[in-house]
Amino acid sequence: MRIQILLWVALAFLMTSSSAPASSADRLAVLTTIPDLADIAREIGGDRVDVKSLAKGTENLHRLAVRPSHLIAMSRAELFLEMGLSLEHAFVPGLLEAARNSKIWPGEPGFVNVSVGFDPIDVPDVVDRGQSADVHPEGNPHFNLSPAAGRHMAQVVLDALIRVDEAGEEVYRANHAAYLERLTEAEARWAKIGERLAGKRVVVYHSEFDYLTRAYGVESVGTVEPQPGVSPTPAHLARLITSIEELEVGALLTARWSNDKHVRFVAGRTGVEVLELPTMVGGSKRATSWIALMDELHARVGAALAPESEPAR
Amino acid sequence: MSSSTLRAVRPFRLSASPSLLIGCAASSALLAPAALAQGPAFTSPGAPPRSTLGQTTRFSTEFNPAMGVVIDTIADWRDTPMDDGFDIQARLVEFNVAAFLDPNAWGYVVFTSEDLGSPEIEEAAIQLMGLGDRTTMKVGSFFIDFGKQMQQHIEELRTVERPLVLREYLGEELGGTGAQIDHWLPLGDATPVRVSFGVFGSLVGEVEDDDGGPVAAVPEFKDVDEVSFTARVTSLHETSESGTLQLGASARVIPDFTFTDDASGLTSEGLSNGVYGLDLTYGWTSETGEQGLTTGVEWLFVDGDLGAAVDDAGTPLDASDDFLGLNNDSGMGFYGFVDYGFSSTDNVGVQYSEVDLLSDTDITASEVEVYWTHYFTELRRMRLGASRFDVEGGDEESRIYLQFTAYFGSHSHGVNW
Repeated sequence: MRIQILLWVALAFLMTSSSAPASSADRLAVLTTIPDLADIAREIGGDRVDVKSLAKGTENLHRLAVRPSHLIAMSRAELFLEMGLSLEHAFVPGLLEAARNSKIWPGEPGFVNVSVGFDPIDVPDVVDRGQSADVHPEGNPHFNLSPAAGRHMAQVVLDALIRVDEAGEEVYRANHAAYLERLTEAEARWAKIGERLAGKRVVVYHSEFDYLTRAYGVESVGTVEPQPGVSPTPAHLARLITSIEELEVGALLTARWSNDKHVRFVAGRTGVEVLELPTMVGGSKRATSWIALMDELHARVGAALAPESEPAR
Repeated sequence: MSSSTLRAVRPFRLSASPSLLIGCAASSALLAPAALAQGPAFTSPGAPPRSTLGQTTRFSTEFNPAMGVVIDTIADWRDTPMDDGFDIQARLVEFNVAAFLDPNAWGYVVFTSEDLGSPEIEEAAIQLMGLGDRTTMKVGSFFIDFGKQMQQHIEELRTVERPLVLREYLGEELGGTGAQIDHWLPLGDATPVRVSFGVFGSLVGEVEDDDGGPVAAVPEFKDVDEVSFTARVTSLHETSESGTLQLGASARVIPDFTFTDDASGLTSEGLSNGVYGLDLTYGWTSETGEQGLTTGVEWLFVDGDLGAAVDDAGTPLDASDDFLGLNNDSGMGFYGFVDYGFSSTDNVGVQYSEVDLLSDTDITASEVEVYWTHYFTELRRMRLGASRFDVEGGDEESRIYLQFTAYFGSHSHGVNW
C-alpha cells in the first residue's frame, strides 16, 4: 500500500508540474528535419524565426536516433519542414504521432513536405521489395544534394513562412531575394566546375550523390551496396572491383556513415580514390551552410575527377 | 498436492475471444446507429441508412487497412531435466492490420498463431487522439504499459524470450481489455515525461493448468475499486550530445480475484496482489547512427496473494478437511542487459535475470543469455544465442538457438515510449 501511495504522489506531482514555456514568444518556432532546410529557413526567416533541426548533419538519415529534445521541439513547432520522398520515414511519422502537435499535423498549414513540386529521379516503375530493401516509392529522396535544390527549397520555405506568418511577408521576401543573389553567384561557380565533369565515372556507396553527378553528366557505374539498404556480398564486390578496373573510375563517393570496411576493401583492391563527402549541412567543418556544402562537394568532386589543369571534354 | 500461482506460464491470450468480440459488435449494432460504411447495398424503408461517405462501392478496397505478417522461427537444442535434443518450430506467425478510422482515431488488430496452431486475437485496440495535444487514449484489448518490455510482442524483443523476472511476475505476455489514458509533458527543452493509467476487466494471465491446481480469475461483475489497473510514469533525459537516459516506474494491481480448484471445488475469494517496477535504461548512439550501446536494468517487486495450493490437512483420501492454502508473500527480482550494435547490421549482447519464485519466494531462479543478432535488411533478421536457466538447488536448463524472423508489409503496434 505504501508503494501505491508513493506512486500516486509521484503521478500527481508530474501531472501538476508546469511545463516550460514554448520557444521565445516573439519568434516563429521552425523545426526542420535536416540542417540544410534549417540553414535556408534562417536565411529567409532572419530574426523573426527560431530554427532547430532534428539531424545534426553527420548521420545516416535512414537511421537517425530520435532524442528527447526532438520530441519536445516537435511538440512546440509552429512550422515543420521535411524533405519528403520518404527520406525521413524512419523517424518523422513516429515523432509526429508522439508529439501530437496539431499545428504541424500533415495537412495543416504548419506541415511542409519540401519535395512537393520538385522533379525526383529514380521513381520506381514497380514498388517491390524484390528490387530493394529501402524502397522509396516517390523516387530518390536525396535531392538536397541537387545543385537545383537551393532555389526550390528557398521558394518552398518562403511560401511556408508567409503562410504561417503573414506579418513577416515583407521581411521574408527581402531575405529571399538576397539569398537568391548569393545562390546565383554560387550556381555560376558550380556550373564552371561541372563543365569539366561530363563523361567522368564514379562509383558510390549509396544513391545519395546521384542528383549531383547526373546534373553534370557524371556516370555512376556501380554501387557498393547492391541495392539501397542491402549489405554487399563478396560476389557483388568482386563485380564492382572488375567494373572499377575496366571503366577508369575516377572516385568512390561515400559518406561518413558509409565509409566502412567494404569501401576500404574495394579501394584497397583497385586503388580508386575514396571521397568521404558530407551529405548534409554540418557533415563537415566546411559545410556550415547549404551553399558552403555544395561549394565543398563541387570542389572536392571536381578536384578528384577533373583537376583544373585537365581540359574539359 | 497441486498448486498454482498467478503467473502466466504460457504466453498470455486475451480473455476476449473472437466470438465475444463478434457478440459485442452484434449487440452494439442493435443499440447504436448502423455502421454506415457497412450498410446494405440497397436501402429499403426502415433499413439502416446507406453511407455516402464511406467506401464507394461494396467491393472497393481503397480504404482497407494496411496489413503485415511476421514469421518467427526457431531452431534450438535444449538440455532440460526431462530430456534433451533438437527442435525446429514456427514459434509465431503474426498477422496485423492497422488503419485510421478518422483523423482522430486509428485502430489495429493483431492475430497470432503459435506453432501453426489456431490463430488467436492478441491485440485489438483503437487509439484515440482527439483529446487534446499530448493526450491519447487507447481502448480495446492490448498489452499493458509496464516497464520497457511488456508492450512489445515477443518477436520484437532483444532476446529470444522475455526476461525471466517478467515471465514470472507478469507473464510471457500480458494484455487486458480496458482503457488506458496517456499524457506527456515537457520539463525544459530536453526532458519529456509521460504518465499512463489504465483500467482493465482482468489482468490475470491465462495459467497453463497442467497440474490441475487452483486457477486465478477475477469476478465478472465488480465494484469500481475492484477493477485491475496499471500505471506508469517515465522520463527521458539527454545526458550528452549522443546519450539518453530513461527512468521509469510502473505498477500492475489486481485488487480482487479468486483462486478456484475445480477438482475439490475449493475457492478462495477477495484476494489481491500487485507488481511494481523501476527501470533505468541508457542509450548511446554514434554520430553517424551506425553504432550504439544500450544498457539497462529493471527491478520488480511483487506483493500479495501470489499462489494457492490444496492442502489435504494430513488425511489422505479424505477431502472433507481439505482447504486452499494461500501463499501471501512478497518477492523481488530484476534483469539487466548490455547490448552493443557494432555496425548497422549487427548487435551483440548479454542479459541476466534473477527472481524469487512465486511458488516459494525463498527459492531464487536465474537466467543468463548471450546473443548475436544480424540484420540482413531491416525486414529480415537472424539471431544466434545461448541461455542457461538455474533454479537454486533444483533444475537447470541450457539452450542454444538460431532464430530467424521476417517481416512482410507494414508492421504497426500501439507501443509507447
